[in-house]
Amino acid sequence: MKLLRLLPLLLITAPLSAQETTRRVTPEEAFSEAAMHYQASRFTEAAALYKKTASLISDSPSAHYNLGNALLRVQTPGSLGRSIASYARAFHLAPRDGDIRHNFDFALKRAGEELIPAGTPATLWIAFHILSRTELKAFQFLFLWSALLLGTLWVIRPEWRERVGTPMAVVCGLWLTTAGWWGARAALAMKDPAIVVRMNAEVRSGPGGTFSVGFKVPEGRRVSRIGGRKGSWVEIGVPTEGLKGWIDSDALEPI
Amino acid sequence: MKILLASLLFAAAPASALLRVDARVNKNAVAINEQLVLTVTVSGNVSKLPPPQLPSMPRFNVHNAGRSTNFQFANGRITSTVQYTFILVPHLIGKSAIGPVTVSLGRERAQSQPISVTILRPGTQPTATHQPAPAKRRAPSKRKKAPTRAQQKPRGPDMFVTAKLDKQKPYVNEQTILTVRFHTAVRLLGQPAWNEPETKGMLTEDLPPGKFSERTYQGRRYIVSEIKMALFPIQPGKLEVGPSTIKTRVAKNRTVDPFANDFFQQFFSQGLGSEVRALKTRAIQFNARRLPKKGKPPDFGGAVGKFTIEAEIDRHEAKVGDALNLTVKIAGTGNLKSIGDLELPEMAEFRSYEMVGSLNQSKDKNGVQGSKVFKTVLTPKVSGKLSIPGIRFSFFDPSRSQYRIVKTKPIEVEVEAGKVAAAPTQVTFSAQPGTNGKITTVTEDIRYMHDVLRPSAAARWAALIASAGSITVIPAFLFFGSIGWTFYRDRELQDPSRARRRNARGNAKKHIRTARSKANSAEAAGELAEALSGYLGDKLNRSASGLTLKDAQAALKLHRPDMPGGHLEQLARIWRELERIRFAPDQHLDATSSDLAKGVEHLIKVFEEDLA
Repeated sequence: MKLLRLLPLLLITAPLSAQETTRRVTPEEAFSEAAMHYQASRFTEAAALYKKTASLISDSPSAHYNLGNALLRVQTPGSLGRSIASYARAFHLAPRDGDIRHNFDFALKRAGEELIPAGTPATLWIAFHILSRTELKAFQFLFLWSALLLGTLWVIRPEWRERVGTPMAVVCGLWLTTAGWWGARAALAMKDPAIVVRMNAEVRSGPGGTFSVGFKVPEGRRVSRIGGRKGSWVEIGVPTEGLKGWIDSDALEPI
Repeated sequence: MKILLASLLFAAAPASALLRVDARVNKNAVAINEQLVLTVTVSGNVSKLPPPQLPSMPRFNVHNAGRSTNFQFANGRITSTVQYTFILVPHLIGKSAIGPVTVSLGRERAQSQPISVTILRPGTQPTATHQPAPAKRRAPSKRKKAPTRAQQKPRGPDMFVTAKLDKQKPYVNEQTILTVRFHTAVRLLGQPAWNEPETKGMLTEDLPPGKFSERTYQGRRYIVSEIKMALFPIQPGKLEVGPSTIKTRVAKNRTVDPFANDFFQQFFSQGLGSEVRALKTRAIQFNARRLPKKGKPPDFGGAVGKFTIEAEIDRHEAKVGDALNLTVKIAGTGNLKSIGDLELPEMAEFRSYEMVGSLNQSKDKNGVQGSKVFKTVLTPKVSGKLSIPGIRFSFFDPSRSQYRIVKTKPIEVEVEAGKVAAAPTQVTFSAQPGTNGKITTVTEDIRYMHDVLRPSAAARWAALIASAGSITVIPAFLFFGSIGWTFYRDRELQDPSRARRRNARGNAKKHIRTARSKANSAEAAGELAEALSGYLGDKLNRSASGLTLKDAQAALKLHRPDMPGGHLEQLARIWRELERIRFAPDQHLDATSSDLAKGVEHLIKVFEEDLA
């Protein structure tokens, strides 16, 4: 009888408790809580929450940037490489952000690299990367659509050709420029980039621990996944040194 | 060692590989019974360095004495150095020049400077003049004069070979030297070739050959050459160094008797006949001892030999966050390659980065020795007088049969205030005297976090547009459709009769459909007449309104002279019937209009085939 009396109460309270335990933390909540941890120098907790935020809003440059900051402060094995990967994602989304560029360069220097390759004029490099690849893609589509619509008017309305001709030429020029720029960025970018997140990661001559170690890559180096994959082993290339080999996939963080 | 030649930097090479080659000899004057060591060092920032091309050296016999490779990966760059050692055995007295040693990689080429070497008579001091000392010249002549003809008959063999290990019970990984001595009392007609012994369960390192010497055995004088090899047993137990072989070409054993009748024949045939002699060393067995468990330090990494450790830092005063370069050098005798990564002690006051090791190995008659240098960067976290504790390295000393631990001395560093973790970039704008109003960077650090989570509206729009590439099909369709439509329209305007011909049947069908819907037969006939005359007018490019039956028949005949007469008759019949209905409707029943519509439709179909 007692159980029967308690049954309605159980039925009411059960969904309530379930709601409480499964309540989703919003990205904004996680983001602000992470900031509090960061300010209190609890970088591990901050990194965990920024990681959650970055996974929920993957197109947020700030989430990736703050995650990179927290990881760089954590200073545990692999955190330098992971912070560089986060900065790379943030830079990919917001290349004009000076803070992101500064911290990305700062972290890369710790790994023995530089954001602006040696010998490249800084102004030229920054101008080339002033727009993100997404923005370049969007611009080239906008100019292409405009050029096609103006072209349509130019064809079907011969009496408007004088008025339409100049804007159409300008838009065509802009489309060719942005498309070429976008293509150049895609061609010059590292193929399937990843960051080494293990100190002195061993790169072997084949996909397995039985193969000899060809060379070691320091943590934080940017490498290219050049295609091959066997089990947990990934074939990588280090373009600047012209080296290639196989590495355990756990030692890599894809960008 | 006196270094005779400086290296030549290949300045003209492109900066890509920075290829360099150095060539050095250990001395620039050598006696004919001695040997010269030529060391060629090839370096560059590529992983695979090409081998050097030696110049022609007609006054020397050249022996390859092995090579050692040094590979560094530091600051994101690779530096490889390969050191080749060659033994030069002179066989012609006089001044000689070793030409430039070259090395090529693709379009890059580097070369060393030539080396001049003086080859002296045996027994001459290298630093003396070329005139040999009288005392030393007299000595051999005494030896020649002393023995009688009977005494000159050799008692020992012409040549023989011995092999010896310097240790019979080495420890695992302890360096053991194998010495093979080749004794010869006869003139060799070529370079002896040595086949290395089989060494299972051992690592080997070739050592430079020992000096030539003279030795008397069983009353016969021999020239002795030494070949050396360092062995490192990698497993305990009974091991064997297999037999090695020396092959050489010698003159056939003919003694020229000056008193024989055929003296001249013997003399001139000397050296023409030759044979290959193969000499084999005996197999040597030895026992490799297991390293003792007693006293084994927990951080023992397997190094066996005699080593020392030193540590130094590039400066002893720094600020918080500054990079201090710490260099730790382990030097000594033993298998340096077996020294693994070095563990730094716990340093809470410093942030340490990965250690990068480089090997500097040299070989001489006593075996393999050299150093392994580890470099790392330390960043002070706090200010004050800090100390880098002693760095320890443990190894097994086989001469004492015990483990030893060597340790560096603690290093003191004075660190000024300023905390990286708590203080981001501190830029002080100061107008105080002495700073001249300039901004001074105190600490380099990362910038502070961002507080706006969501990406900007512009960024969201850009992402949206970038993902909408498939929309391109709409403006593309409009553009290419407009081009097609314009092309079609232009063609129509250029040839209107063609358009009339093409649309003739369609227009006629419209009239026929209208006629069928008419209740009044006269109106229906009018529509059918319009369909027929309009069709013929369009097909024949005539005005339909003024077209009579006669005109139509004449035009059809003109257009198609071979048109069947039945078709024209059928046209005339239907035409007249339609005119009758239109202009005298009372004479006919309504039912016939449907038949006429079928007839007109059929006739148009017939003409469509005729006029195609």
